[in-house]
Amino acid sequence: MTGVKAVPILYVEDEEADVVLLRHVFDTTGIPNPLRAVKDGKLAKDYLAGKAPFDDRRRHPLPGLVLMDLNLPYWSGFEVLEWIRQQPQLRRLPVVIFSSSNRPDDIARAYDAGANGFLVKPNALTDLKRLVLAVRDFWLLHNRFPDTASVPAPAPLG
Amino acid sequence: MNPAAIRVLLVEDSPSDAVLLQESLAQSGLGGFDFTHVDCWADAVRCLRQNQFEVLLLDLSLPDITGRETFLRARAEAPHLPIVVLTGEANEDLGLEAVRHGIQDYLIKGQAYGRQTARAIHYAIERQQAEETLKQTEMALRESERKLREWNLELERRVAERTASLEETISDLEDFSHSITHDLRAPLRAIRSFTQILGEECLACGRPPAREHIHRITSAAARMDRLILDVLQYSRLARSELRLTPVDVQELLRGIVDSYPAFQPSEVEIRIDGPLPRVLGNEAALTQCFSNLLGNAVKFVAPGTRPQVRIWAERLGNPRPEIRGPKEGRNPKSEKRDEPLAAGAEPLPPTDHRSVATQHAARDTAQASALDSLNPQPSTLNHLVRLWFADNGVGIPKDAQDRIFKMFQRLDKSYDGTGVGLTVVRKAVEKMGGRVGLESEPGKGSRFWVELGAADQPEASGGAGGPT
Repeated sequence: MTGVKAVPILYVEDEEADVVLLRHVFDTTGIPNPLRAVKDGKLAKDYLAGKAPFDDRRRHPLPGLVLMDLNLPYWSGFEVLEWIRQQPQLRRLPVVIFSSSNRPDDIARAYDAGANGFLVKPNALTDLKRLVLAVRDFWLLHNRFPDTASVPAPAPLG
Repeated sequence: MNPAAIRVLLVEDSPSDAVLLQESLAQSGLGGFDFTHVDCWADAVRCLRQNQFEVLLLDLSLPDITGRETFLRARAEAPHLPIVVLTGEANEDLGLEAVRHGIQDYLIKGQAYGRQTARAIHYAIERQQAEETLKQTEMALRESERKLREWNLELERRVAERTASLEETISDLEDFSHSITHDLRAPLRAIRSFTQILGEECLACGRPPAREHIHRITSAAARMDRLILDVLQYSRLARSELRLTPVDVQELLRGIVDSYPAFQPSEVEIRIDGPLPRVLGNEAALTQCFSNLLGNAVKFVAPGTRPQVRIWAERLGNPRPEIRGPKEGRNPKSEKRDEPLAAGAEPLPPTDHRSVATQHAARDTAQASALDSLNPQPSTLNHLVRLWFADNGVGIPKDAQDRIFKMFQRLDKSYDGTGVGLTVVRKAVEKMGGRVGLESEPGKGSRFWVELGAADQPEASGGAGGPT
């Protein structure tokens, strides 16, 4: 990842413990990408739309990758995902579902709504570390991100 | 007036006919008659409404009404009154028609007087009463039918209602287990993970009691997580419909043995004495059963013992001895088998084999006769396959053998487990129409069996065969 500016990651998660855990694993495995976390679907939409209190893009940069739980307060992960796909500036944004559910209908629904991946939350720390390393290798190292800046009409998002 | 006399309303416009009739009846000697005589329909109606009569004698050619209209009107006016119509000689057809319309009888004027008329009157009364009774019975029957239909509808409605509520319960249960996965496991994830982090940080401080405590917390949390998963697995299995297809058990077992690290040859010795006949089962459920059985077989061994598991199959209830091959061919094979096993830590004691074989034969006979009584069709008897999983583990005492298939039953807490594995096995096998059981003695290993429908006839699959 040397030379390439590390893309920010937005983590949409209502379980604070899960956020702390992911931060811990990011830190201990030396992943340099900034990890921003919001705790519900409404805040996720506000963050992505650049609405207050996330209107300062230097402090709250548009993420290159979204990790999102499905069971969220206010707006479910599916609804946020559907909303993202309807926004011209966000429709290319890679969104990976990160949920404890492994129900086939949840997985199918997530892909139908435009998810780029579906990862089941591991329950042991060692497995989480392994998964985070896999995410790093695939999404942050090998994957090429679309140019979200060239998407037309940077008008306010709603 | 004779109180026992039959009250007759006579409607007859010809005075001579009326007199003739009354006189001839009086002379008949067949009971007294109390006559009221009118000569037109209008008067007849008035009389019928004012007085009680036991019978109506009705002429069909009255000044104000004639023909069939006469008896139709009379029937309608007095629906329960016995009626005898009087017709002329040329109009017998009309009399017959009257009877078809609920009139009890007809008399032909000039032919029937005296005893015949009296009999006709008595008969009309009796007949009307019989008809009335019949009508009442019919009505009661119709009422019963109506009630039955009502109850049927009610029953259907209740069944539909309960089905709907059951469906709702099932869907609630699904939501419930889903939220269990999500909500119960999330705190556990936090406990496990943070304790592990704490443990890593504690490594630096190097205080052994703290590390020991941390280890206990993580393993307890891990155990609870497995419990939740196992119970979920069981409840999903209990609710699901299993579609049965022919399954190549041998292939499936090889796949399981190859893919689980705990079943690798470096760890354990698992032998499949094939060929194993194909069974009718559900591959996913069978995978669950077999991995649980194998998991138990390699887990519950005495410390320092290298686990040895042997799997073979027998067909049940087949009368031809050559098809029983796999079982018969087993004993010499078993003897041979001891050689490589002897190189291992602890071979199965030879007495064990013999006792198994004897028990086996005895059970077999019992089994076959039990099946005979359960299922009289001989063709289905060839369709059972019993898969055996024999281990060299610690064994299970006789008095505990019924308990071990029950949820959360753990015989020895020093072994890691949730007490759900065998419950899942039994549920899955029962869902596939089969049975499970075991033979075991402490210190002599356990032999679990799973009995399922065979997918092929013995001829097709080739019953006997050497080890593979």
